[in-house]
Amino acid sequence: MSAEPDSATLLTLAGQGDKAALSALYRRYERPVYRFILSKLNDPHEAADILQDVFMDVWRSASRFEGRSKVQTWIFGIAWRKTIDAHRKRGRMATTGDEMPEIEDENVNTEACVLAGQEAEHVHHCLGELSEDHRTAVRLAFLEDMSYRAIAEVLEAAEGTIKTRVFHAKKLLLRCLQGRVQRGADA
Amino acid sequence: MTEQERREIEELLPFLANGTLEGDEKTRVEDALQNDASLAGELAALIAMRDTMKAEEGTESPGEFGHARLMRALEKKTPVQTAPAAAAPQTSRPIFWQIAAGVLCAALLGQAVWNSGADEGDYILAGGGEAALTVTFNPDATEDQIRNLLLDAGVEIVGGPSALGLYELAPLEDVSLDEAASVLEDNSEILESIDRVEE
Repeated sequence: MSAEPDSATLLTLAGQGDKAALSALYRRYERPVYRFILSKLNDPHEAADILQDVFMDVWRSASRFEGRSKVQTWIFGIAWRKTIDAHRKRGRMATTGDEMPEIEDENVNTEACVLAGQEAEHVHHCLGELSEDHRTAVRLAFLEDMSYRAIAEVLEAAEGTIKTRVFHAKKLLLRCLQGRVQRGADA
Repeated sequence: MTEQERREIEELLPFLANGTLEGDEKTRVEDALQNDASLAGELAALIAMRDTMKAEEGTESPGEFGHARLMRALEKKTPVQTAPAAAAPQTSRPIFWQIAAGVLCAALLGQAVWNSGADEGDYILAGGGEAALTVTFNPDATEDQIRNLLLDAGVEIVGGPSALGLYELAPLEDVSLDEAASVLEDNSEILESIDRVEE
Protein backbone atom coordinates (compact mmCIF):
# COMPACT_ATOMS: atom_id res chain seq x y z
CA MET A 1 0.00 0.00 0.00
CA SER A 2 1.44 3.40 -0.97
CA ALA A 3 1.76 6.07 1.69
CA GLU A 4 -0.47 9.11 1.39
CA PRO A 5 1.28 12.16 -0.09
CA ASP A 6 2.39 14.82 2.34
CA SER A 7 0.25 17.89 2.80
CA ALA A 8 2.47 20.16 0.72
CA THR A 9 2.17 17.79 -2.26
CA LEU A 10 -1.59 17.64 -1.82
CA LEU A 11 -1.78 21.42 -1.71
CA THR A 12 0.30 21.71 -4.88
CA LEU A 13 -2.04 19.28 -6.63
CA ALA A 14 -5.08 21.17 -5.35
CA GLY A 15 -3.53 24.31 -6.78
CA GLN A 16 -3.50 22.55 -10.16
CA GLY A 17 -7.21 21.85 -9.89
CA ASP A 18 -7.10 18.36 -8.37
CA LYS A 19 -10.28 18.07 -6.30
CA ALA A 20 -9.27 14.67 -4.99
CA ALA A 21 -6.20 16.28 -3.42
CA LEU A 22 -8.44 18.89 -1.79
CA SER A 23 -10.61 16.05 -0.48
CA ALA A 24 -7.57 14.43 1.08
CA LEU A 25 -6.56 17.74 2.68
CA TYR A 26 -10.08 18.21 3.96
CA ARG A 27 -10.08 14.79 5.58
CA ARG A 28 -6.68 15.46 7.13
CA TYR A 29 -7.43 18.87 8.65
CA GLU A 30 -11.20 19.21 8.85
CA ARG A 31 -11.58 18.04 12.43
CA PRO A 32 -8.80 20.10 14.07
CA VAL A 33 -9.66 23.21 12.06
CA TYR A 34 -13.34 22.89 12.97
CA ARG A 35 -12.40 22.34 16.61
CA PHE A 36 -10.27 25.50 16.50
CA ILE A 37 -13.05 27.60 14.95
CA LEU A 38 -15.68 26.21 17.31
CA SER A 39 -13.52 26.97 20.34
CA LYS A 40 -13.57 30.64 19.33
CA LEU A 41 -17.20 30.98 18.23
CA ASN A 42 -19.06 28.39 20.31
CA ASP A 43 -21.66 28.01 17.55
CA PRO A 44 -21.53 24.69 15.65
CA HIS A 45 -23.53 25.96 12.66
CA GLU A 46 -21.48 29.09 12.19
CA ALA A 47 -18.29 27.09 12.74
CA ALA A 48 -19.36 24.64 10.00
CA ASP A 49 -20.02 27.54 7.64
CA ILE A 50 -16.60 29.03 8.34
CA LEU A 51 -14.97 25.63 7.91
CA GLN A 52 -16.54 25.47 4.45
CA ASP A 53 -15.24 28.97 3.66
CA VAL A 54 -11.77 27.99 4.84
CA PHE A 55 -11.55 25.06 2.45
CA MET A 56 -13.01 27.10 -0.39
CA ASP A 57 -10.20 29.59 0.29
CA VAL A 58 -7.69 26.74 0.36
CA TRP A 59 -8.97 25.69 -3.06
CA ARG A 60 -8.79 29.20 -4.49
CA SER A 61 -5.41 30.08 -2.95
CA ALA A 62 -3.58 26.76 -3.12
CA SER A 63 -1.58 27.77 -6.19
CA ARG A 64 -0.24 30.76 -4.28
CA PHE A 65 1.10 28.72 -1.35
CA GLU A 66 4.83 29.40 -1.23
CA GLY A 67 5.85 26.71 1.20
CA ARG A 68 7.33 29.13 3.72
CA SER A 69 5.22 27.61 6.47
CA LYS A 70 3.69 24.22 7.15
CA VAL A 71 0.39 23.53 5.42
CA GLN A 72 -1.24 23.06 8.84
CA THR A 73 -0.09 26.54 9.87
CA TRP A 74 -1.27 28.08 6.61
CA ILE A 75 -4.75 26.54 6.86
CA PHE A 76 -5.12 27.47 10.54
CA GLY A 77 -4.09 31.02 9.63
CA ILE A 78 -6.95 31.22 7.13
CA ALA A 79 -9.31 29.85 9.77
CA TRP A 80 -8.08 32.39 12.32
CA ARG A 81 -8.67 35.36 10.00
CA LYS A 82 -12.15 34.17 9.10
CA THR A 83 -12.99 33.58 12.74
CA ILE A 84 -11.83 37.06 13.68
CA ASP A 85 -13.96 38.48 10.85
CA ALA A 86 -16.96 36.61 12.26
CA HIS A 87 -16.23 38.06 15.69
CA ARG A 88 -16.12 41.55 14.21
CA LYS A 89 -19.42 41.04 12.43
CA ARG A 90 -20.98 40.03 15.71
CA GLY A 91 -19.54 43.16 17.25
CA ARG A 92 -17.62 41.32 19.89
CA MET A 93 -13.95 41.55 19.19
CA ALA A 94 -11.62 39.22 20.98
CA THR A 95 -9.96 41.04 23.80
CA THR A 96 -6.24 40.84 24.09
CA GLY A 97 -5.26 38.78 27.06
CA ASP A 98 -1.65 39.76 27.32
CA GLU A 99 -2.17 42.25 30.08
CA MET A 100 -1.98 40.23 33.20
CA PRO A 101 -1.85 41.08 36.86
CA GLU A 102 1.43 40.13 38.43
CA ILE A 103 1.30 36.77 40.09
CA GLU A 104 3.46 36.12 43.04
CA ASP A 105 6.30 33.92 41.90
CA GLU A 106 5.78 31.21 44.44
CA ASN A 107 6.59 27.61 43.70
CA VAL A 108 3.69 25.36 42.88
CA ASN A 109 3.31 21.85 44.17
CA THR A 110 4.06 20.04 40.92
CA GLU A 111 3.01 16.64 42.29
CA ALA A 112 -0.45 18.03 42.97
CA CYS A 113 -0.46 19.57 39.49
CA VAL A 114 0.43 16.25 37.88
CA LEU A 115 -2.44 14.57 39.73
CA ALA A 116 -4.92 17.31 38.84
CA GLY A 117 -3.61 17.42 35.27
CA GLN A 118 -4.78 13.85 34.82
CA GLU A 119 -8.36 14.77 35.70
CA ALA A 120 -10.36 16.09 32.77
CA GLU A 121 -12.74 17.97 35.05
CA HIS A 122 -9.91 19.94 36.64
CA VAL A 123 -8.21 20.64 33.32
CA HIS A 124 -11.44 21.85 31.69
CA HIS A 125 -12.24 24.04 34.67
CA CYS A 126 -8.81 25.63 34.71
CA LEU A 127 -8.77 26.19 30.94
CA GLY A 128 -12.11 27.91 31.35
CA GLU A 129 -10.56 30.32 33.82
CA LEU A 130 -8.07 31.60 31.26
CA SER A 131 -8.59 34.59 29.03
CA GLU A 132 -9.57 33.79 25.46
CA ASP A 133 -6.13 34.62 24.09
CA HIS A 134 -4.36 32.51 26.68
CA ARG A 135 -6.72 29.61 26.10
CA THR A 136 -6.29 29.80 22.32
CA ALA A 137 -2.51 29.69 22.60
CA VAL A 138 -2.60 26.74 25.00
CA ARG A 139 -5.04 24.83 22.79
CA LEU A 140 -2.85 25.32 19.74
CA ALA A 141 0.20 24.20 21.73
CA PHE A 142 -1.34 21.18 23.43
CA LEU A 143 -4.17 20.04 21.17
CA GLU A 144 -2.61 20.79 17.80
CA ASP A 145 1.02 20.39 18.92
CA MET A 146 2.16 23.59 17.25
CA SER A 147 5.52 25.23 17.87
CA TYR A 148 5.55 28.77 19.22
CA ARG A 149 6.65 29.95 15.76
CA ALA A 150 3.65 28.27 14.14
CA ILE A 151 1.26 29.68 16.75
CA ALA A 152 2.71 33.15 16.18
CA GLU A 153 2.13 32.79 12.45
CA VAL A 154 -1.44 31.53 12.85
CA LEU A 155 -2.40 34.27 15.32
CA GLU A 156 -0.38 36.94 13.49
CA ALA A 157 1.54 37.82 16.64
CA ALA A 158 5.22 38.13 17.51
CA GLU A 159 6.99 34.95 18.63
CA GLY A 160 7.93 36.62 21.91
CA THR A 161 4.30 37.50 22.52
CA ILE A 162 3.27 33.87 22.09
CA LYS A 163 6.01 32.60 24.40
CA THR A 164 4.95 35.13 27.03
CA ARG A 165 1.29 34.29 26.55
CA VAL A 166 1.87 30.56 26.98
CA PHE A 167 4.18 31.22 29.93
CA HIS A 168 1.50 33.20 31.77
CA ALA A 169 -1.19 30.71 30.81
CA LYS A 170 0.96 27.89 32.13
CA LYS A 171 1.48 29.64 35.46
CA LEU A 172 -2.24 30.28 35.83
CA LEU A 173 -3.10 26.72 34.89
CA LEU A 174 -0.64 25.16 37.34
CA ARG A 175 -1.84 27.43 40.11
CA CYS A 176 -5.44 26.60 39.33
CA LEU A 177 -4.75 22.85 39.21
CA GLN A 178 -2.92 23.01 42.53
CA GLY A 179 -5.81 24.89 44.07
CA ARG A 180 -8.31 22.29 42.83
CA VAL A 181 -6.36 19.50 44.52
CA GLN A 182 -5.88 21.44 47.73
CA ARG A 183 -9.56 22.36 47.93
CA GLY A 184 -10.44 18.72 47.31
CA ALA A 185 -8.14 17.63 50.10
CA ASP A 186 -9.47 20.29 52.48
CA ALA A 187 -13.12 19.41 51.78
CA MET B 1 21.01 29.96 36.40
CA THR B 2 20.04 33.61 36.37
CA GLU B 3 16.45 34.72 36.78
CA GLN B 4 16.32 35.68 33.11
CA GLU B 5 17.71 32.31 32.01
CA ARG B 6 15.18 30.49 34.13
CA ARG B 7 12.37 32.56 32.70
CA GLU B 8 13.51 31.65 29.17
CA ILE B 9 13.61 27.97 30.06
CA GLU B 10 10.14 28.18 31.59
CA GLU B 11 8.82 29.86 28.46
CA LEU B 12 10.12 27.02 26.32
CA LEU B 13 8.98 24.20 28.62
CA PRO B 14 5.45 23.85 27.12
CA PHE B 15 7.04 23.37 23.72
CA LEU B 16 9.29 20.62 25.02
CA ALA B 17 6.09 19.04 26.40
CA ASN B 18 4.45 19.06 22.95
CA GLY B 19 7.57 17.85 21.17
CA THR B 20 8.11 20.86 18.92
CA LEU B 21 11.30 22.20 20.46
CA GLU B 22 14.41 21.65 18.33
CA GLY B 23 18.14 22.26 18.19
CA ASP B 24 19.86 24.54 20.66
CA GLU B 25 16.65 25.50 22.45
CA LYS B 26 15.80 21.85 23.09
CA THR B 27 19.31 21.14 24.38
CA ARG B 28 19.20 24.14 26.74
CA VAL B 29 15.89 23.09 28.24
CA GLU B 30 16.91 19.46 28.62
CA ASP B 31 20.15 20.47 30.33
CA ALA B 32 18.25 22.71 32.72
CA LEU B 33 15.84 19.91 33.57
CA GLN B 34 18.65 17.64 34.70
CA ASN B 35 19.65 20.08 37.43
CA ASP B 36 16.28 21.36 38.55
CA ALA B 37 13.68 19.03 40.04
CA SER B 38 10.97 21.69 40.12
CA LEU B 39 11.31 22.27 36.37
CA ALA B 40 11.10 18.51 35.81
CA GLY B 41 7.95 18.40 37.95
CA GLU B 42 6.46 21.27 35.99
CA LEU B 43 7.18 19.43 32.75
CA ALA B 44 5.45 16.32 34.10
CA ALA B 45 2.38 18.40 34.99
CA LEU B 46 2.30 19.97 31.53
CA ILE B 47 2.55 16.57 29.85
CA ALA B 48 -0.25 15.22 32.05
CA MET B 49 -2.43 18.20 31.16
CA ARG B 50 -1.69 17.85 27.44
CA ASP B 51 -2.49 14.12 27.51
CA THR B 52 -5.78 14.81 29.27
CA MET B 53 -6.75 17.52 26.80
CA LYS B 54 -6.06 15.23 23.85
CA ALA B 55 -7.89 12.27 25.39
CA GLU B 56 -10.95 14.32 26.25
CA GLU B 57 -11.25 16.30 23.03
CA GLY B 58 -14.24 14.70 21.36
CA THR B 59 -15.62 17.50 19.21
CA GLU B 60 -18.03 16.25 16.58
CA SER B 61 -17.19 17.83 13.26
CA PRO B 62 -19.15 18.09 9.99
CA GLY B 63 -17.08 15.17 8.65
CA GLU B 64 -18.45 13.48 5.54
CA PHE B 65 -21.46 15.79 5.41
CA GLY B 66 -19.14 18.77 5.32
CA HIS B 67 -17.08 17.07 2.64
CA ALA B 68 -20.14 16.49 0.46
CA ARG B 69 -21.14 20.13 0.96
CA LEU B 70 -17.67 21.30 -0.03
CA MET B 71 -17.68 19.17 -3.17
CA ARG B 72 -21.09 20.51 -4.17
CA ALA B 73 -19.86 24.07 -3.68
CA LEU B 74 -16.76 23.37 -5.76
CA GLU B 75 -18.88 21.93 -8.51
CA LYS B 76 -20.94 25.10 -8.63
CA LYS B 77 -17.82 27.27 -8.73
CA THR B 78 -15.86 25.27 -11.29
CA PRO B 79 -18.31 23.28 -13.42
CA VAL B 80 -15.89 22.42 -16.19
CA GLN B 81 -12.58 22.25 -14.35
CA THR B 82 -11.05 18.80 -14.27
CA ALA B 83 -7.97 17.51 -12.56
CA PRO B 84 -5.00 16.41 -14.67
CA ALA B 85 -5.54 12.69 -14.25
CA ALA B 86 -2.04 11.62 -15.17
CA ALA B 87 -0.47 13.91 -12.59
CA ALA B 88 -2.70 12.86 -9.72
CA PRO B 89 -1.18 10.19 -7.51
CA GLN B 90 -3.13 7.84 -5.27
CA THR B 91 -3.96 10.23 -2.46
CA SER B 92 -6.47 8.27 -0.43
CA ARG B 93 -8.09 4.91 -0.12
CA PRO B 94 -10.04 4.00 -3.28
CA ILE B 95 -13.36 3.88 -1.49
CA PHE B 96 -13.05 7.57 -0.65
CA TRP B 97 -12.54 8.42 -4.31
CA GLN B 98 -15.61 6.46 -5.18
CA ILE B 99 -17.62 8.37 -2.60
CA ALA B 100 -16.19 11.73 -3.69
CA ALA B 101 -16.81 10.97 -7.35
CA GLY B 102 -20.30 9.74 -6.56
CA VAL B 103 -21.12 12.87 -4.64
CA LEU B 104 -19.95 15.04 -7.53
CA CYS B 105 -22.02 13.09 -10.05
CA ALA B 106 -25.01 13.17 -7.77
CA ALA B 107 -24.66 16.90 -7.24
CA LEU B 108 -24.67 17.47 -11.02
CA LEU B 109 -27.66 15.22 -11.49
CA GLY B 110 -29.45 16.84 -8.59
CA GLN B 111 -28.79 20.27 -10.03
CA ALA B 112 -30.18 19.15 -13.39
CA VAL B 113 -33.35 17.80 -11.80
CA TRP B 114 -33.73 20.94 -9.73
CA ASN B 115 -33.34 23.21 -12.74
CA SER B 116 -35.79 21.17 -14.79
CA GLY B 117 -38.58 22.23 -12.48
CA ALA B 118 -39.04 19.24 -10.25
CA ASP B 119 -41.86 19.42 -7.75
CA GLU B 120 -40.39 21.36 -4.82
CA GLY B 121 -42.34 19.87 -1.96
CA ASP B 122 -41.01 19.72 1.57
CA TYR B 123 -39.76 16.20 1.05
CA ILE B 124 -37.58 16.90 -1.98
CA LEU B 125 -33.91 16.68 -1.00
CA ALA B 126 -31.18 18.98 -2.18
CA GLY B 127 -28.85 16.47 -3.74
CA GLY B 128 -28.84 13.71 -6.33
CA GLY B 129 -31.26 11.90 -8.56
CA GLU B 130 -30.14 8.27 -8.11
CA ALA B 131 -31.20 7.81 -4.52
CA ALA B 132 -32.31 4.31 -3.65
CA LEU B 133 -32.77 4.77 0.09
CA THR B 134 -33.78 7.54 2.43
CA VAL B 135 -32.54 7.44 6.01
CA THR B 136 -32.45 9.47 9.16
CA PHE B 137 -29.51 9.20 11.50
CA ASN B 138 -29.76 8.82 15.23
CA PRO B 139 -28.92 12.26 16.71
CA ASP B 140 -26.46 10.58 19.08
CA ALA B 141 -24.57 8.79 16.30
CA THR B 142 -21.05 10.11 15.86
CA GLU B 143 -19.58 11.16 12.54
CA ASP B 144 -17.10 8.25 12.79
CA GLN B 145 -19.95 5.77 13.26
CA ILE B 146 -21.86 7.20 10.33
CA ARG B 147 -18.82 7.23 8.06
CA ASN B 148 -17.91 3.63 8.94
CA LEU B 149 -21.48 2.46 8.40
CA LEU B 150 -21.65 4.10 4.97
CA LEU B 151 -18.35 2.51 4.01
CA ASP B 152 -19.41 -0.90 5.35
CA ALA B 153 -22.71 -0.75 3.49
CA GLY B 154 -21.08 0.51 0.30
CA VAL B 155 -23.34 3.52 -0.07
CA GLU B 156 -22.85 7.23 -0.57
CA ILE B 157 -24.85 10.27 0.45
CA VAL B 158 -26.37 11.79 -2.67
CA GLY B 159 -28.78 14.25 -1.12
CA GLY B 160 -30.00 15.93 2.01
CA PRO B 161 -30.46 16.76 4.70
CA SER B 162 -34.06 17.77 4.14
CA ALA B 163 -35.96 19.91 6.60
CA LEU B 164 -36.91 16.65 8.30
CA GLY B 165 -33.32 15.41 8.50
CA LEU B 166 -33.71 12.89 5.67
CA TYR B 167 -30.62 11.88 3.73
CA GLU B 168 -30.66 10.13 0.35
CA LEU B 169 -28.28 7.25 -0.18
CA ALA B 170 -27.24 5.38 -3.31
CA PRO B 171 -25.27 2.11 -3.47
CA LEU B 172 -21.82 2.26 -5.02
CA GLU B 173 -21.39 0.72 -8.44
CA ASP B 174 -20.48 -2.81 -7.34
CA VAL B 175 -22.93 -3.01 -4.43
CA SER B 176 -26.49 -4.28 -4.77
CA LEU B 177 -29.33 -2.40 -3.14
CA ASP B 178 -30.31 -5.46 -1.12
CA GLU B 179 -26.79 -5.90 0.26
CA ALA B 180 -26.57 -2.25 1.20
CA ALA B 181 -30.00 -2.18 2.79
CA SER B 182 -29.23 -5.30 4.77
CA VAL B 183 -26.09 -3.80 6.32
CA LEU B 184 -27.88 -0.56 7.11
CA GLU B 185 -30.88 -2.30 8.66
CA ASP B 186 -28.56 -4.15 11.02
CA ASN B 187 -27.40 -0.85 12.54
CA SER B 188 -30.48 0.57 14.16
CA GLU B 189 -28.35 2.26 16.82
CA ILE B 190 -26.96 4.55 14.10
CA LEU B 191 -29.96 4.82 11.80
CA GLU B 192 -33.34 5.89 13.11
CA SER B 193 -35.18 5.02 9.93
CA ILE B 194 -34.51 3.52 6.53
CA ASP B 195 -36.87 3.43 3.57
CA ARG B 196 -36.49 2.36 -0.01
CA VAL B 197 -37.22 4.99 -2.61
CA GLU B 198 -40.16 3.90 -4.70
CA GLU B 199 -39.44 3.60 -8.42
